[in-house]
Amino acid sequence: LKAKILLIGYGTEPTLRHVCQQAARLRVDYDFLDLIAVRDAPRIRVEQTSDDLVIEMASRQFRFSCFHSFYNRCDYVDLGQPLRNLAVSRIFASVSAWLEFAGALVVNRPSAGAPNANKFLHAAELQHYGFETPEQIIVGNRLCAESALDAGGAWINKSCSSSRSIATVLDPELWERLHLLTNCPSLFQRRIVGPDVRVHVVGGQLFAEKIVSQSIDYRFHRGDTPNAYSDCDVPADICRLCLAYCEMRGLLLAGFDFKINDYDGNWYALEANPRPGFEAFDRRQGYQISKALLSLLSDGVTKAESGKHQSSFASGSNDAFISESRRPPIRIL
Amino acid sequence: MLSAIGWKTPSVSWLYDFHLMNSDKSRFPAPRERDLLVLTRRRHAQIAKITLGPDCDILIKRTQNFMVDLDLDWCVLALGIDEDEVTAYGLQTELPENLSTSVAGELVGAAISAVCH
Repeated sequence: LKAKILLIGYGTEPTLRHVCQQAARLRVDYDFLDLIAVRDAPRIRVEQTSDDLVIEMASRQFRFSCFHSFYNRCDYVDLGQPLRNLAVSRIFASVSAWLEFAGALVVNRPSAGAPNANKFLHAAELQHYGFETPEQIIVGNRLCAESALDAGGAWINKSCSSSRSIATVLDPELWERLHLLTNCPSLFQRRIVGPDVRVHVVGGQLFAEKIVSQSIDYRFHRGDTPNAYSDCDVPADICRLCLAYCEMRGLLLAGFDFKINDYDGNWYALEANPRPGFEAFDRRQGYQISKALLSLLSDGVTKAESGKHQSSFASGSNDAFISESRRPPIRIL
Repeated sequence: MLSAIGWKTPSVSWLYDFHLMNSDKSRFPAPRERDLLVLTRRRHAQIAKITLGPDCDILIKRTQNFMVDLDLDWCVLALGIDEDEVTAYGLQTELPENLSTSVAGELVGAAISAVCH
């Protein structure tokens, strides 16, 4: 009997662990390729043919052609041992290649979320498709930064790549680090003061939640007053834009981040995350997101996918502008 | 991707043995003759100039259509030929390191230059 769904990723990663738990609870027919096994497997074999991909490890064999749909959270992780890292790289490359062109339903194909890896271009793309986005600038040296920005609290700084960083207001303390921009350019966005909204799109369904936080980046809130989460109505034009963007990009699951401007009530799109960590939202929202995702994967029909394929260094220091303390650890190992 | 375009592609197998601390890569079929096909969106050139059948003309055109979709200006396709059967072994958008410093690398450069002008 063929299992319908293959979940791919690391069993220690919170979102995938949550999806596995939900799949088991809902008695969904699934199998799980747990890449954490690469850490201890005595032997791994990867075989790629024109119409199949087979991965064998830890006494298990995964024949990709046997699955009807895939939920992919496969990524490269440094396992601290060169040969195992080589195996992880190979699995990542082979799985990505397979999922990009497989006839099965894939959440999400690698190319669908590719623009998110460049936050500047991604925001420009969102704007192109009709979203309102904050003014933004990438700066790679102190003089440019000093002429374009100020430390009065009007700018937010974040990573311009897919590397996670804690978004921070550009204040006098951060201003003192501007000379480090020559080591690596960084992204600055005009600060929008107001609540955050996370909108998850699963297939054609939307699940929204408003977050009121005293922190600039609510995900890493450390203050005395906890974040306040509440249900949220999404304006019809924003719903339409989210669905249209997902269809255009071939995204079957996405997490849109918005700020609602206190001043004019406008919704500003910050990003559309193609691999959102949604477990906390899911728990607060009665497991609707995982239910919708697992339903989509269970009913998976290929046609449902739109699937469009679419230096110089600062003297005396190699430090990056975004300090270590603002780089959250990867929660896998 | 090559398979999706329609090229015949080899089976490739990687084996990692962590007791012996080694890895092995094997391909089937192994090519008897090899050639590199340099493609731009409208033109193409071969390094070894092995005769390719008419089926390959269609595949080259389809590959060029794919390049347009993927926003690629040029690429190099590694081909293996055995008994008139052509197998595509890989597509690259940069030259392999061992090629870029060799005579073959110079040939690739010349081919790119030829198809670009």
